[in-house]
Amino acid sequence: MENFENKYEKKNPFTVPEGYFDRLPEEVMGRVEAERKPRKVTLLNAIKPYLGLAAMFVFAWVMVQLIAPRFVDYDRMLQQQPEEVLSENGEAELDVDFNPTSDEILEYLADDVHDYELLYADLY
Amino acid sequence: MDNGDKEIIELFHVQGRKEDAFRLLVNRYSEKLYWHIRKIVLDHEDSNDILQNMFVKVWQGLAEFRYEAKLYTWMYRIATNESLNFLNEKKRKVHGYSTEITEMLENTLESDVYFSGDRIQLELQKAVLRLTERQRLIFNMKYFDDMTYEDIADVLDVAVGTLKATYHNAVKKIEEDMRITDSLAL
Repeated sequence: MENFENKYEKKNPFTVPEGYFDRLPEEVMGRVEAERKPRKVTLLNAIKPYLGLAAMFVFAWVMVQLIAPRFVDYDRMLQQQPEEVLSENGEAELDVDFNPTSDEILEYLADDVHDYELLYADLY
Repeated sequence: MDNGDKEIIELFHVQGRKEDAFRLLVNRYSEKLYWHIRKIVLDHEDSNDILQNMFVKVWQGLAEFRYEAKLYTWMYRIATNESLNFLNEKKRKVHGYSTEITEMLENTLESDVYFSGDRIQLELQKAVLRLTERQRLIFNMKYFDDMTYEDIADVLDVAVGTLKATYHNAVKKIEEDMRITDSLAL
Protein backbone atom coordinates (compact mmCIF):
# COMPACT_ATOMS: atom_id res chain seq x y z
CA MET A 1 0.00 0.00 0.00
CA GLU A 2 2.84 2.40 0.91
CA ASN A 3 4.45 1.46 -2.37
CA PHE A 4 1.29 2.52 -4.18
CA GLU A 5 1.19 5.87 -2.39
CA ASN A 6 4.85 6.50 -3.23
CA LYS A 7 4.36 5.59 -6.85
CA TYR A 8 1.26 7.70 -7.50
CA GLU A 9 1.37 11.03 -5.77
CA LYS A 10 -1.84 12.35 -4.28
CA LYS A 11 -1.74 15.54 -6.31
CA ASN A 12 -5.17 16.73 -7.44
CA PRO A 13 -5.06 16.85 -11.27
CA PHE A 14 -8.33 18.75 -11.60
CA THR A 15 -8.51 22.54 -11.80
CA VAL A 16 -11.26 25.18 -11.68
CA PRO A 17 -11.80 28.50 -13.51
CA GLU A 18 -9.75 31.34 -12.08
CA GLY A 19 -11.24 32.93 -8.97
CA TYR A 20 -13.93 30.26 -8.74
CA PHE A 21 -13.45 29.54 -5.03
CA ASP A 22 -13.41 33.26 -4.21
CA ARG A 23 -16.85 33.68 -5.79
CA LEU A 24 -18.27 30.36 -4.61
CA PRO A 25 -19.56 31.33 -1.13
CA GLU A 26 -21.43 34.35 -2.54
CA GLU A 27 -22.89 32.23 -5.37
CA VAL A 28 -24.06 29.59 -2.92
CA MET A 29 -25.58 32.20 -0.59
CA GLY A 30 -27.34 33.80 -3.56
CA ARG A 31 -28.79 30.47 -4.60
CA VAL A 32 -29.99 29.67 -1.07
CA GLU A 33 -31.48 33.17 -0.79
CA ALA A 34 -33.36 32.67 -4.07
CA GLU A 35 -34.81 29.40 -2.75
CA ARG A 36 -35.90 31.04 0.49
CA LYS A 37 -37.97 33.78 -1.14
CA PRO A 38 -41.53 32.69 -1.79
CA ARG A 39 -42.22 32.75 -5.49
CA LYS A 40 -44.68 35.45 -6.57
CA VAL A 41 -47.95 34.00 -7.78
CA THR A 42 -49.46 36.18 -10.47
CA LEU A 43 -53.16 36.07 -11.33
CA LEU A 44 -52.32 34.55 -14.70
CA ASN A 45 -50.26 31.79 -13.09
CA ALA A 46 -53.00 31.08 -10.57
CA ILE A 47 -55.75 30.64 -13.17
CA LYS A 48 -53.58 28.95 -15.80
CA PRO A 49 -54.71 25.40 -14.96
CA TYR A 50 -58.38 26.42 -15.12
CA LEU A 51 -57.85 28.27 -18.40
CA GLY A 52 -56.31 25.15 -19.83
CA LEU A 53 -59.25 23.05 -18.71
CA ALA A 54 -61.77 25.54 -20.15
CA ALA A 55 -59.88 25.65 -23.46
CA MET A 56 -59.98 21.86 -23.59
CA PHE A 57 -63.78 21.80 -23.16
CA VAL A 58 -64.28 24.52 -25.77
CA PHE A 59 -62.08 22.61 -28.19
CA ALA A 60 -63.99 19.39 -27.57
CA TRP A 61 -67.34 21.18 -28.09
CA VAL A 62 -66.15 22.77 -31.36
CA MET A 63 -64.87 19.42 -32.60
CA VAL A 64 -68.22 17.77 -31.85
CA GLN A 65 -70.04 20.57 -33.68
CA LEU A 66 -67.79 20.21 -36.69
CA ILE A 67 -67.60 16.45 -36.88
CA ALA A 68 -71.03 15.25 -35.72
CA PRO A 69 -73.04 16.52 -38.76
CA ARG A 70 -70.84 14.46 -41.08
CA PHE A 71 -71.82 11.22 -39.38
CA VAL A 72 -75.49 11.82 -38.47
CA ASP A 73 -78.21 11.69 -41.17
CA TYR A 74 -81.12 13.58 -39.57
CA ASP A 75 -83.52 13.07 -42.54
CA ARG A 76 -83.10 9.32 -42.35
CA MET A 77 -83.66 9.40 -38.60
CA LEU A 78 -86.93 11.33 -39.01
CA GLN A 79 -88.22 8.93 -41.66
CA GLN A 80 -87.40 5.86 -39.63
CA GLN A 81 -88.56 7.12 -36.27
CA PRO A 82 -92.26 5.89 -36.30
CA GLU A 83 -91.23 2.36 -37.22
CA GLU A 84 -88.26 2.25 -34.91
CA VAL A 85 -89.85 3.45 -31.66
CA LEU A 86 -90.90 0.24 -30.00
CA SER A 87 -92.53 -0.51 -26.71
CA GLU A 88 -90.97 -2.77 -24.12
CA ASN A 89 -92.49 -5.94 -25.60
CA GLY A 90 -91.13 -5.07 -28.99
CA GLU A 91 -94.40 -3.88 -30.64
CA ALA A 92 -94.69 -0.57 -32.38
CA GLU A 93 -96.22 2.08 -30.15
CA LEU A 94 -97.47 4.19 -33.03
CA ASP A 95 -99.61 2.81 -35.83
CA VAL A 96 -99.50 5.16 -38.77
CA ASP A 97 -102.43 3.34 -40.45
CA PHE A 98 -104.79 3.98 -37.50
CA ASN A 99 -107.25 6.67 -38.69
CA PRO A 100 -110.65 6.37 -36.84
CA THR A 101 -113.84 8.05 -38.07
CA SER A 102 -115.93 10.44 -35.87
CA ASP A 103 -118.53 7.72 -35.18
CA GLU A 104 -115.82 5.33 -34.02
CA ILE A 105 -114.51 7.94 -31.63
CA LEU A 106 -118.00 8.64 -30.17
CA GLU A 107 -118.62 4.91 -29.78
CA TYR A 108 -115.32 4.51 -27.95
CA LEU A 109 -116.16 7.36 -25.61
CA ALA A 110 -119.70 6.04 -24.98
CA ASP A 111 -118.28 2.66 -23.92
CA ASP A 112 -116.22 4.44 -21.37
CA VAL A 113 -119.20 6.07 -19.53
CA HIS A 114 -119.70 4.51 -16.11
CA ASP A 115 -122.98 3.77 -14.32
CA TYR A 116 -122.46 6.38 -11.59
CA GLU A 117 -122.07 9.02 -14.30
CA LEU A 118 -125.51 8.09 -15.77
CA LEU A 119 -127.03 8.25 -12.26
CA TYR A 120 -125.48 11.65 -11.73
CA ALA A 121 -126.96 12.87 -15.08
CA ASP A 122 -130.50 11.64 -14.06
CA LEU A 123 -130.37 13.44 -10.72
CA TYR A 124 -129.36 16.80 -12.13
CA MET B 1 -18.79 17.16 17.13
CA ASP B 2 -16.07 19.64 16.15
CA ASN B 3 -16.27 22.87 18.18
CA GLY B 4 -16.52 25.06 15.09
CA ASP B 5 -19.42 22.98 13.76
CA LYS B 6 -21.13 23.12 17.15
CA GLU B 7 -20.88 26.91 17.20
CA ILE B 8 -22.34 27.08 13.70
CA ILE B 9 -25.30 24.93 14.66
CA GLU B 10 -25.93 26.90 17.82
CA LEU B 11 -25.75 30.17 15.92
CA PHE B 12 -28.18 28.79 13.35
CA HIS B 13 -30.77 28.34 16.10
CA VAL B 14 -30.40 31.91 17.37
CA GLN B 15 -33.25 34.15 16.20
CA GLY B 16 -32.10 36.31 13.25
CA ARG B 17 -28.63 34.70 12.93
CA LYS B 18 -29.49 31.85 10.57
CA GLU B 19 -27.86 33.48 7.57
CA ASP B 20 -24.67 34.34 9.46
CA ALA B 21 -24.37 30.74 10.61
CA PHE B 22 -24.98 29.40 7.15
CA ARG B 23 -22.42 31.74 5.64
CA LEU B 24 -19.83 30.36 8.09
CA LEU B 25 -20.79 26.85 7.08
CA VAL B 26 -20.46 27.62 3.37
CA ASN B 27 -17.08 29.32 3.87
CA ARG B 28 -15.85 26.37 5.86
CA TYR B 29 -16.97 23.50 3.65
CA SER B 30 -17.78 24.62 0.12
CA GLU B 31 -14.32 23.94 -1.31
CA LYS B 32 -13.94 20.53 0.35
CA LEU B 33 -17.38 19.45 -0.79
CA TYR B 34 -16.78 20.77 -4.28
CA TRP B 35 -13.76 18.48 -4.68
CA HIS B 36 -15.66 15.52 -3.31
CA ILE B 37 -18.43 16.09 -5.86
CA ARG B 38 -15.97 16.84 -8.67
CA LYS B 39 -14.22 13.50 -8.17
CA ILE B 40 -17.55 11.72 -8.58
CA VAL B 41 -19.04 13.57 -11.58
CA LEU B 42 -15.74 14.98 -13.02
CA ASP B 43 -17.25 17.90 -14.97
CA HIS B 44 -16.75 21.34 -13.36
CA GLU B 45 -20.13 22.86 -14.35
CA ASP B 46 -22.01 19.78 -13.16
CA SER B 47 -20.08 19.84 -9.89
CA ASN B 48 -20.96 23.49 -9.37
CA ASP B 49 -24.68 22.83 -9.95
CA ILE B 50 -24.70 19.82 -7.64
CA LEU B 51 -22.84 21.74 -4.92
CA GLN B 52 -25.38 24.56 -4.99
CA ASN B 53 -28.34 22.16 -4.92
CA MET B 54 -26.66 20.35 -2.07
CA PHE B 55 -26.31 23.53 -0.02
CA VAL B 56 -30.00 24.32 -0.60
CA LYS B 57 -30.80 20.91 0.90
CA VAL B 58 -28.43 21.54 3.79
CA TRP B 59 -30.18 24.87 4.45
CA GLN B 60 -33.56 23.14 4.42
CA GLY B 61 -32.42 20.30 6.69
CA LEU B 62 -30.11 22.08 9.10
CA ALA B 63 -32.86 22.99 11.56
CA GLU B 64 -33.55 19.27 12.09
CA PHE B 65 -29.88 18.26 12.22
CA ARG B 66 -29.12 16.17 15.31
CA TYR B 67 -26.01 16.84 17.37
CA GLU B 68 -24.97 13.19 17.64
CA ALA B 69 -23.90 13.10 13.98
CA LYS B 70 -20.91 14.96 12.55
CA LEU B 71 -21.97 17.94 10.52
CA TYR B 72 -19.42 17.44 7.78
CA THR B 73 -20.08 13.70 7.32
CA TRP B 74 -23.80 14.53 7.11
CA MET B 75 -23.05 17.04 4.34
CA TYR B 76 -20.72 14.57 2.60
CA ARG B 77 -23.56 12.08 2.58
CA ILE B 78 -25.92 14.59 0.95
CA ALA B 79 -23.22 15.51 -1.59
CA THR B 80 -22.56 11.85 -2.40
CA ASN B 81 -26.23 11.04 -2.89
CA GLU B 82 -26.81 14.13 -5.02
CA SER B 83 -23.81 13.28 -7.20
CA LEU B 84 -24.79 9.65 -7.72
CA ASN B 85 -28.39 10.62 -8.50
CA PHE B 86 -27.10 13.17 -10.98
CA LEU B 87 -24.94 10.58 -12.77
CA ASN B 88 -27.80 8.10 -13.06
CA GLU B 89 -30.14 10.79 -14.33
CA LYS B 90 -27.57 12.07 -16.85
CA LYS B 91 -26.92 8.58 -18.13
CA ARG B 92 -30.66 7.97 -18.56
CA LYS B 93 -31.36 11.32 -20.22
CA VAL B 94 -28.34 11.77 -22.47
CA HIS B 95 -27.07 8.29 -23.18
CA GLY B 96 -30.01 5.97 -22.60
CA TYR B 97 -29.35 2.42 -21.49
CA SER B 98 -26.69 1.65 -24.09
CA THR B 99 -23.84 3.39 -22.24
CA GLU B 100 -22.26 2.50 -18.91
CA ILE B 101 -21.49 5.26 -16.43
CA THR B 102 -17.78 4.35 -16.60
CA GLU B 103 -17.73 4.93 -20.36
CA MET B 104 -19.63 8.20 -19.98
CA LEU B 105 -17.17 9.43 -17.32
CA GLU B 106 -14.10 8.41 -19.34
CA ASN B 107 -15.41 10.58 -22.17
CA THR B 108 -15.97 13.45 -19.72
CA LEU B 109 -12.43 13.05 -18.35
CA GLU B 110 -10.80 13.04 -21.78
CA SER B 111 -12.62 16.18 -22.89
CA ASP B 112 -12.24 18.05 -19.58
CA VAL B 113 -10.58 21.43 -20.12
CA TYR B 114 -10.04 21.74 -16.36
CA PHE B 115 -7.77 18.72 -16.10
CA SER B 116 -4.07 19.56 -15.77
CA GLY B 117 -2.63 16.17 -14.85
CA ASP B 118 0.10 14.36 -16.78
CA ARG B 119 -0.28 11.02 -18.59
CA ILE B 120 0.21 8.93 -15.42
CA GLN B 121 -2.38 10.97 -13.53
CA LEU B 122 -4.82 10.61 -16.40
CA GLU B 123 -4.31 6.85 -16.46
CA LEU B 124 -4.71 6.71 -12.67
CA GLN B 125 -8.02 8.58 -12.92
CA LYS B 126 -9.18 6.21 -15.67
CA ALA B 127 -8.24 3.22 -13.53
CA VAL B 128 -10.25 4.73 -10.65
CA LEU B 129 -13.22 5.08 -13.00
CA ARG B 130 -13.05 1.36 -13.79
CA LEU B 131 -13.65 0.47 -10.13
CA THR B 132 -17.12 -0.32 -8.92
CA GLU B 133 -19.13 2.68 -7.72
CA ARG B 134 -18.58 1.86 -4.05
CA GLN B 135 -14.85 1.13 -4.54
CA ARG B 136 -14.46 4.43 -6.35
CA LEU B 137 -16.18 6.42 -3.59
CA ILE B 138 -14.15 4.75 -0.86
CA PHE B 139 -10.87 5.07 -2.76
CA ASN B 140 -11.39 8.78 -3.44
CA MET B 141 -12.38 9.60 0.13
CA LYS B 142 -9.50 7.62 1.63
CA TYR B 143 -6.73 8.28 -0.86
CA PHE B 144 -7.37 11.80 -2.10
CA ASP B 145 -9.45 13.34 0.72
CA ASP B 146 -7.50 11.63 3.56
CA MET B 147 -10.67 10.83 5.44
CA THR B 148 -10.60 8.37 8.33
CA TYR B 149 -12.34 5.01 7.94
CA GLU B 150 -14.71 6.05 10.73
CA ASP B 151 -15.81 9.15 8.87
CA ILE B 152 -16.19 7.27 5.57
CA ALA B 153 -18.25 4.66 7.43
CA ASP B 154 -20.46 7.48 8.70
CA VAL B 155 -20.93 8.90 5.19
CA LEU B 156 -21.63 5.61 3.41
CA ASP B 157 -23.24 3.75 6.30
CA VAL B 158 -20.85 0.81 5.86
CA ALA B 159 -18.91 -1.09 8.55
CA VAL B 160 -15.25 -0.08 8.98
CA GLY B 161 -14.05 -3.66 8.35
CA THR B 162 -15.88 -3.75 5.03
CA LEU B 163 -14.40 -0.37 4.09
CA LYS B 164 -10.85 -1.54 4.77
CA ALA B 165 -11.33 -4.64 2.63
CA THR B 166 -12.95 -2.63 -0.17
CA TYR B 167 -10.15 -0.06 -0.15
CA HIS B 168 -7.52 -2.80 -0.24
CA ASN B 169 -9.24 -4.46 -3.20
CA ALA B 170 -9.59 -1.11 -4.98
CA VAL B 171 -5.85 -0.39 -4.65
CA LYS B 172 -4.97 -3.88 -5.95
CA LYS B 173 -7.32 -3.43 -8.90
CA ILE B 174 -5.84 -0.02 -9.78
CA GLU B 175 -2.27 -1.38 -9.53
CA GLU B 176 -3.15 -4.22 -11.87
CA ASP B 177 -4.87 -1.84 -14.28
CA MET B 178 -1.88 0.52 -14.26
CA ARG B 179 0.53 -2.38 -14.86
CA ILE B 180 -1.43 -3.41 -17.96
CA THR B 181 -1.54 0.21 -19.19
CA ASP B 182 2.24 0.56 -18.67
CA SER B 183 2.99 -2.66 -20.54
CA LEU B 184 0.81 -1.55 -23.45
CA ALA B 185 2.55 1.84 -23.55
CA LEU B 186 6.01 0.25 -23.88
